[in-house]
Amino acid sequence: MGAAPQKQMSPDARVAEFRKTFSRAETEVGRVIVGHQQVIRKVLTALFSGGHVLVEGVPGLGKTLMIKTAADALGLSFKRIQFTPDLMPSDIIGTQVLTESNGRREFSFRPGPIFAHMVLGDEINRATPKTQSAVLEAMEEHQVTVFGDTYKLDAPFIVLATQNPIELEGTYPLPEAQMDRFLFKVVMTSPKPDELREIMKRTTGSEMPKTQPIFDPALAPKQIETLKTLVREVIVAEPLERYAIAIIAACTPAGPGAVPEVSQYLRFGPSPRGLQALILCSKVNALLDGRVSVAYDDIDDAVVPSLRHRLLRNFQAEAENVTTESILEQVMKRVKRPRA
Amino acid sequence: MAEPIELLGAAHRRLALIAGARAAAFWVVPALTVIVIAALLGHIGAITWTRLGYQLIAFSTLRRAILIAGLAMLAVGAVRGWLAWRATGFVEAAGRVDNALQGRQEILTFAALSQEKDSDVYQRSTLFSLLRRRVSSRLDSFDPHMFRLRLGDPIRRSSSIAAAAIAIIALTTLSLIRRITPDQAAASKLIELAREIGNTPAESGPTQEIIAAAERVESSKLPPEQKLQQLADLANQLKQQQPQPKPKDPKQPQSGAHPRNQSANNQTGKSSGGSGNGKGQANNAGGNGGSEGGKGEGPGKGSGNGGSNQGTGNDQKSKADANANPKPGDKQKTNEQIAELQDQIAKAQAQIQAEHASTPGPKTEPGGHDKGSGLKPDKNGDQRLASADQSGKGGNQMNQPGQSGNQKPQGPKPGSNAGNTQGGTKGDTHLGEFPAPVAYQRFYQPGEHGPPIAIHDARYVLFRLPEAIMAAPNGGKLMLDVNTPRATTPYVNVPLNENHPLEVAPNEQQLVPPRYRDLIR
Repeated sequence: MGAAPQKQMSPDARVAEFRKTFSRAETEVGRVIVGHQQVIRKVLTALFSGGHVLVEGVPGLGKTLMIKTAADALGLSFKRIQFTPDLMPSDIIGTQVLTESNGRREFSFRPGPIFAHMVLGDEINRATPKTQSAVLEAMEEHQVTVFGDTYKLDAPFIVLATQNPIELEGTYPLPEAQMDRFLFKVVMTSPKPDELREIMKRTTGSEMPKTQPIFDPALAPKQIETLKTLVREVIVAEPLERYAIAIIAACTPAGPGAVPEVSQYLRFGPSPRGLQALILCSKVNALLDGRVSVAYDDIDDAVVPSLRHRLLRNFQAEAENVTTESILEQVMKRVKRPRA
Repeated sequence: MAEPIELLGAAHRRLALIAGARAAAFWVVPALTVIVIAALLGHIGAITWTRLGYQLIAFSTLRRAILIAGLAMLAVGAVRGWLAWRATGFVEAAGRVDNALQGRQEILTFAALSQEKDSDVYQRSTLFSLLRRRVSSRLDSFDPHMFRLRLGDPIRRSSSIAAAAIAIIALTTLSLIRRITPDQAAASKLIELAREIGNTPAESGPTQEIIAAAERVESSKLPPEQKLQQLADLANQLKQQQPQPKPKDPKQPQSGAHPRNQSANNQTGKSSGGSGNGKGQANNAGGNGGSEGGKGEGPGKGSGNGGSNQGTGNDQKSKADANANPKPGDKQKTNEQIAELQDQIAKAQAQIQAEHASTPGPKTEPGGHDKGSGLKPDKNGDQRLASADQSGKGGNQMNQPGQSGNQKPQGPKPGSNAGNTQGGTKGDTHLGEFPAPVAYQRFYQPGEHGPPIAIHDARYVLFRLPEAIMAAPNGGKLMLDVNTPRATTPYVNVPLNENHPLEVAPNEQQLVPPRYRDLIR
């Protein structure tokens, strides 16, 4: 079980191990979750890329179940935080509590639910910005600071935040700057009729489906970190780097390479984090295809989930109901692959 | 397992070559089209505007410009090809190979890493060895020759440029086409003949001078008098070029009596013989040889000049030999061409004179003899020139062979034809028509116009009928009668024998038709 001595393995074996692990994780999650294969893949991609995922979908689609299932399958710890308006940062990151040991009273740190490998922030837009910021800092720094003491979060660390696109009254939508910290934004859609039937069968029967852990829970974090290292080693040629940069430049309204749709409908484009997300996702895509170098198709596949939440539409776009996905589609039509 | 760098290098070289060839091919077809048009411009004109009676002004300039444009296009194609060849980089070629083999940019990535100077980061990657193996396995079945040189597409795309070039040339040509005047037509004919002569090995030297003179005549800016002067000079040049035939028997008086041989033998540049001959020939309508010839070869009379003439002829012959070593057939052909050229000169003079005479001006004085539009006498005695010049005189007196070289002219003075014929251009030598009976009923009496010519015992004559010239019904300009067959064969009134002294073959001579025989006395 697992791929512990990855560094000593040949490159072929490491790539094969990555593909096998990823495929098994997909399969195990798929035992519980019906459909949403693309969402599952993106969540796992973000996990191996070291990023976080913003999941958007109406209630009841299985967002929480999917993330919990993925944690179970990978042998990682899982915590869920239900964000409410009265949720405080200390409720998330933990706080100092007065404890008594050996007759002495002292303050000791009590970790919050953020201290887990996989954290589900449910309806993150219902918490106040102050609380959201506490989470977002942990997401970026992989550490929390309480009363001057800094506590490292265990790797791997991935936050999956959900947003409910309806019932926005009384919510605090994530600021664009904070949306940028999520590697992907995936949208869960309503299941199809045959998927609904399968969901009905699985969830209303006498036996609930269960997952088999891929890794030993004690070794899982280290093994996943090793696989994450492999992702970083995937090679990107200079022409493909230029292609990815061209895409980012085309999405920047004030940039020289902006396409007309971007200039017309966007206020702000993606930051360098967008480029990082694009490349990391492309590398995972290449590994999943058995390659150790990124292809143009890998980048193309990563564009929408990596950039859709980084584009800030203007009033005209919102008035005309122009989505960021449609803008990205136009961008991809206009940006040409370099001739090397 | 194939060495990927070597294979990619071979592919790079081939792709660069193909790119260069395709870029160059884009310009080759338009360039060749333009060059071919430049080369065939004369032939194109011959079947189009020249046939319709038009002339392309600045022909040489236009052809040169078209040729330069074609060469410029070729140069552009070469430069573009070189740039395309140079612009095809190694990584780009690898990308093409990648696409061809559906390598998912693995080959491209490998090539890019091999070209990067700071590629240590990637070289250290443990995955690079895997990438190299995968690229090598992909290139196992790769052959650089799978990239074929296909020129169809660039050539198809360049057809629009070729069409545009053709259109531009056509429009330019149309804008430069003018209706041709008779003297320009004659000059063009002269140029054509001179070029034909220039192509023969025997005569290549002075052809350019003839062409230059003809081009000056062709110029519409030149006054008619100067044109006539140019033609006269041209005739003199031709006369000097005519080779001197070798007599079979030096003792036998042979060609001195024959005009053609006489003119051929007299390659003299002597001033005394030259001027005398010219005037004498002016009286010989229809004659071919020129009366001056007698002085060179004839026994007795003129023998004193013969030495110098012979010497001059030898000099020229030696010059010709020095220039080229012509075959006898070429020599004969050249002679024929020169004879034809002389005919054309005579016609051109006649046309210019006629055209000039038809225009009002002080040139013609009715009843006058030596004033008006008549030609100046040919100083060196070109008989064709004189015959054309003095058209309408009819029965001119024949020079006596061997004597006329130093003689004064016997016929009417040049320029008198307007006065004699009231219009002066309707002689049979001009028009190729039988002269009107009224004007040609009698011949001049000896001494009627100048001192008599001492010609005795002339037994035969050789002449050539000029091209027919018909007058417009209203008596206006003369023009060539293209419907009448052109006389190319000399007529002679003596039975042909095998040892005839003429320079043309016996079967190229005809007996004088009956309707002309009475004209010869």
